Order: sequence, then C-alpha cells, then structure tokens
Amino acid sequence: MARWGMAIDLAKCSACQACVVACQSENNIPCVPPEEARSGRILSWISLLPELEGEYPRLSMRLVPLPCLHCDNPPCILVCPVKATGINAEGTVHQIYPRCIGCRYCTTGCPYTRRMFNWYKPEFPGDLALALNPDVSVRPKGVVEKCTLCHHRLMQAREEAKAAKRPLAEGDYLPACAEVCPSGAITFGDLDDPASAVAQLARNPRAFRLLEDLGTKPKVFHLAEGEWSGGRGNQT
Amino acid sequence: MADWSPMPPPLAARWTIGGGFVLCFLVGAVVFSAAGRNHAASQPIAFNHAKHLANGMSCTDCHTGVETQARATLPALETCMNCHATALTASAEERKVRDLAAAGKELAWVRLTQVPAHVFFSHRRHVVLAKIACAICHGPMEKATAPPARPFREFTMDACTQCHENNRGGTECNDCHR
Repeated sequence: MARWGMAIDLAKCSACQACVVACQSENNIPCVPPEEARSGRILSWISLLPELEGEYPRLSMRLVPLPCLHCDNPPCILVCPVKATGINAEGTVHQIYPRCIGCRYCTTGCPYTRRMFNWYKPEFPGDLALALNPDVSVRPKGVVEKCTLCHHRLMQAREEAKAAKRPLAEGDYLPACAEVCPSGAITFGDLDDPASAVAQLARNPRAFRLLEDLGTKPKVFHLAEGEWSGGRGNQT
Repeated sequence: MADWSPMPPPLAARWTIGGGFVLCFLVGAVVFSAAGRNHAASQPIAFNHAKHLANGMSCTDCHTGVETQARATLPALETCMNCHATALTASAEERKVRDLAAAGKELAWVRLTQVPAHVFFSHRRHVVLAKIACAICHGPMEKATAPPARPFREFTMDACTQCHENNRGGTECNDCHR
C-alpha cells in the first residue's frame, strides 16, 4: 500500500503560483468576490504562505507553497462530529461533502488553515462554467472542502495501469500542482517506497515539516537551506 | 391550545380531527408513492432492446463508452443511421429515426440511471476490469421489448457498498466519493 507524499523544494520554487492556478481549475474551485476574498473567504486548496524575513529596509518575503499536508495524525478528523472527514489506508485525508454539516470545527482544528468553507453558492462566471472538470464534483454552499491530492487522478491512473496489466509506476499519478510546476519544485510519490524520488527528498537533511512539534506528522515536506531547515521551520 | 383547554373537545370534534389526520396521511401516501414510481420516462423512440439483441447486437455496439470510459453514453442518431439509413422494417418507430435525421435533429434520450454528482462511477472499471455483467445493474435487457420506464434498480450508497463488500471492491470513502 502506497503512502502518498509530497516534497516541495523552496530553493527551486519561484513563487509563480502555477500550482495555485492548476489546482483551481483541476478541482472546480469557485470564484469568490474580491471583497469577500479580502475577508478571508477565498477558496484555494494550495496557496502561497507569505513569510516575512528581516526588518525594513532589509526586508524580504519568502513564499511557501502550502497544500493540505495530509498529516498522518490529522487534528481535523478528530474534531469532526459527523465523520465527514477521515484518513484512508494510503494516508490521504478526505472530505465527504454530502456528509459535512458545515460546523467548521475542522477549519479551526487544522493548524495549517488548509480547510476552506463554502460561504456561497459556487459561481463560475463566463466561460469558466464550460471548463469544469467532470471528474470532480462542484461542492455546494455550506460544506468544508480541502485538497484531495487529486484523488480522481489516482483513480484514473490505477484504472489505466490495471487495463494495461501492470503495477502503478512512479509518475503515473501526479496531482495537478506537481504536474504543472515549471521549475520542478514539487515532487510527488510514494513515501513508503525507499527508491522513490519523494522518499529520498524526505530523508534529505534540508527537509523539514511545518509545525512538526505539534505531532501532526505531515506527509508534505518542504526543503530549504540554513535556518529554515530543522530550526526555524519547526518553530513557525 | 388544546393542551390548556379545561375540558376535552367533544367526541364528534375528536373524530373529525382524527379522521382528518388519517385521511391526510392516506392521500399523502397514495400521492407520494405514485409520484415515486410513476416518473415513467417517455423516450423519443420506443426502442426494442430485445429485438436488437436477438439480432446479434451487443450492448457496446450502441453504448459505445462502456468499455473505454466512465460514461456508457446513450447512442447518437448517427449510430442508429449506420443501419437504419434505409428501411429495414415497416415499423413506424424506425421511420422516426430517418425523419429526425432528415430534419437534422438529434435523439433526445431521457437518461434513466444516474448517480449523484458527488459520486464517481466508471463503467470501464466495473465492466472491463471487474468483469461485471451489464445485467447485474441494468436488468435483463434481452427481454425488454419497450424502453424501460424506470431504472432496473435503485442506485443507493447501500446497494453500492453491499456489492463492494461482498466482492472486495474498495470501500474507502474516496473510492467512489469525489
């Protein structure tokens, strides 16, 4: 059984946000009016976390791509009163929209703020309505949604592999963000396969996990040099 | 109000109220059960599955997506016209196909079996990879002389999970929910 994980190399990331756009269109994420977006009601399953460094005038900003970290020990599923969310055998944290009652405990429970609530009826203005992905449902108003690691792509890849009578190979299944990344900063694969690129990156001394001391055991690793690896990254 | 009245209402009134409730219940039961069963779909053509299958055709000849994609697809007029461009029988239903083609219209089939939008169902996965016969879900179409009025079975989560549990299909939420 695979354990899907991701490694994001911050030295390679140019913060172009191609992953954000790819995710938005792959997963039918609705548009939110600008004024509502400013009040934090924007939906984006992967977004860039701004991290300010230094003080003016030596101020710099680092942008950290942040999808759902698919923790091995996810706090969000512990607080769900209706079992609308859970973690499957492959370690993917899922959300079952028809079961969600919209209490938003999980959005509060997630220390990475990677859960979004649908405050409005989903809107896809203009041609966007024609570009909906038929493999992903459009979530109704009043439910929480989150990154699924493009689970529909896994289903598709499995089906293709099974039809071709071969095991699922590395690279058969990639989430939209990992596929689109122009600088190759996002590596995706099976963490339990020691030969996979992502497992090797996870063992890299530059690798760290956000808020590791909470014990959430995320399966998304970030890689950076210096104080970010191990030291600072663990504390922020 | 009734709880606070010092005296119970007279017997006749009680019977009227009680009878009213019973009547409402009965009428409701009849109306809603009829509404549930009687959405018999009227298809543009009284298609005879039995006849086509008896003449050596298979399901995938018209439902072309079954073996290759998630959706089985309902046949386009073009598929019918492959055989029926010239009259094969004296059937009035068959003439409708050519009339539609002459008018440049498309067949407006009414889709009967449909899973909810949040469920991912792949025909290919079930038919080709898991080798499940069409009849398990769609019934004995080789006996259907008229278009089915309603789905052969109800596609509830219960029905799906039962089969998945018995046949070791996946029962993870995300295997079907999307």
